[in-house]
Amino acid sequence: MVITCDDLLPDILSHLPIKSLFRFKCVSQRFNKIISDPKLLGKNQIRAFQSVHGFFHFSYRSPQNIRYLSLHPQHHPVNNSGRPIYSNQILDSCSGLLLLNLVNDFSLYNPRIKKHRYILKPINWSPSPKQNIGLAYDSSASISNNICKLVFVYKSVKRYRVPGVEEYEFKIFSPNANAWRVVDMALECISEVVILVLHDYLDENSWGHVMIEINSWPRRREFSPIFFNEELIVLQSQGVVKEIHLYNMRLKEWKKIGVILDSEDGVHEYIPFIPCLAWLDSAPLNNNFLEENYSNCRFEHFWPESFLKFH
Amino acid sequence: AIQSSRFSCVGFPLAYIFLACKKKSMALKLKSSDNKIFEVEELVAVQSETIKSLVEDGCANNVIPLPNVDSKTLELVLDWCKNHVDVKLDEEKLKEYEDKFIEVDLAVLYDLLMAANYLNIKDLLNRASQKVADMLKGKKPEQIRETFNIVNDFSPEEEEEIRKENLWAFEE
Repeated sequence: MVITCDDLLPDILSHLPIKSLFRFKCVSQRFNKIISDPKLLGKNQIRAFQSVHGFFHFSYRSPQNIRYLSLHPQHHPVNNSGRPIYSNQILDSCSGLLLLNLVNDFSLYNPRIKKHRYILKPINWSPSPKQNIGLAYDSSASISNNICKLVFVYKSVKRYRVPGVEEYEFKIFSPNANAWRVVDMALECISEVVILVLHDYLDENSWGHVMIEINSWPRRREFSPIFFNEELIVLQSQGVVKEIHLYNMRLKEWKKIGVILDSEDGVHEYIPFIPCLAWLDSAPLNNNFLEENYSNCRFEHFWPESFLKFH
Repeated sequence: AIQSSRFSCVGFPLAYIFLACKKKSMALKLKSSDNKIFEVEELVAVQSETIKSLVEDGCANNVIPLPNVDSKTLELVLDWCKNHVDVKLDEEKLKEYEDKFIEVDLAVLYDLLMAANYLNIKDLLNRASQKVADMLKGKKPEQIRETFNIVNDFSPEEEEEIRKENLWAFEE
C-alpha cells in the first residue's frame, strides 16, 4: 500500500497522538514536511494534546525562580539549579502556550514562535491563594487560531454566607471578544480549600475529578500527588528533600524524575507543560528553552499587531 | 450488467423503511469504474457531497459515472451510506456497525479512504483515517516505511538530527 494522495496523509496523521507525530517526522522528507506544516494544527483535535512533557516548577516564596522538570529525565538530565527568568511568573500552561504574569498585563506566550499576546488583567486580580487563573481550551472549538480561554476563579465578596463555606465565582476571557466576562455560575467549597487546579475545565458548566488506583504505593514516605492523566501520576515526597516520582499506570513502573532541595520555600507549584503541534518544527524541547528564549528575544514579536501594549 | 445493490432492512427502525419506500421513486444510478450500475435512493447517495452537488446542479438524470471507484468499494461505501441516512439510528448500534465495517485489511481500507475522499463523505473519511492512524500509532518509523513502501530520502546525518531533536518521542 502506498499513500500517494497528498490530501489523505494529513487527514490520517491528524488522528495520531502527538508522540507518534514527533516520531514519524523521520520517516521521510514528505512526512516531515506535512507534520511540520502548521495547517495540521487546525486538523488535529484536542485528543492529541494529552501527553505532558514536563513541569515548570517554582515555589511561592520565589516565583521567579522557575525550572523545568522533564518527565523524560534520561534525555534531559535533572538539574537542580534554579533559573531566574526576569520577573515573569508562569501562571499556567496549556497546549504549548504559557500564561505569564507581567507587571501590567498577562501574556499568552508561544515559546515556539516566540510571540506574546497581551491580555488585560481582570480588575480584581491579585496574587492570593484564594484565587487562581488558568488556561483552557474550549474543546468544542477548533484550536487552529490558538483559541485559548483564560479562566479566572476568585472568592466571591457577596454578603450571604454559610459558615465554613466559601463561594467562588468565575470570569472567562475569550480572545475573540477580547474581554473578561462574568460566568453565571458559582462553585461552593468548604473553607480552607485552595483552588489551584483548573485543568479539568471542560466547558463552562462542568468540572471533573478522577480516582486512580495505584498498586505499589510507596508507603515508606508521604507522597502528595501533583499531576495525573490517564497514563501517569506524578508525586512529590514530603520533607526537606523533595523527591519527584513518576508512576506509569500502564507499565506499572516507578521512576524518579527529580529532587528539589529547598527547605524554606513553602508551597510548591507544578505546571504541566504539554507540547502542541505549534512545537513541531521547533528546536528540540530541552531544559534550557526558557533561558534561550528569554535571552535572545524579549517582546520583540507581538501577536497579533493589535495587541501591542495598550497601557 | 445491472446490479441492484444489496438492501437489507433488518435492524432498521420502521421509520427508515417507510422513508426509504417513499423516496424510492428518486433513485439514482451510479456507475463504478468497472462499469457496474448501482441503483440507489437519492437520500442514500447524497451523503456524498460530490453526488449531492451533481444532483443539485441537475446533472444526475442519467447514470452518474464514478471513474475513481471500483464496484467492490462502491458497494461497501453505499452500505455505509445506507446506515448513515439522516434518520435517528440507535447510537450504540451505529457504533457497533461502524466498528465492524472498518475491520478490513489495509488494502480495502485504502480503497475506502480514496473513495471517501473522492466522493467527499466526511464521516467515512474520518472513521477510515482514524482506523489507519490506530494501526500506525505504536509503530517505529522503519515499520511505517515498510507498511507504506516509503523510501527513506533522508541522509543518515539528517535522520540522526531529527531523531536527536525528538528523542523523547522514541521512548517506550
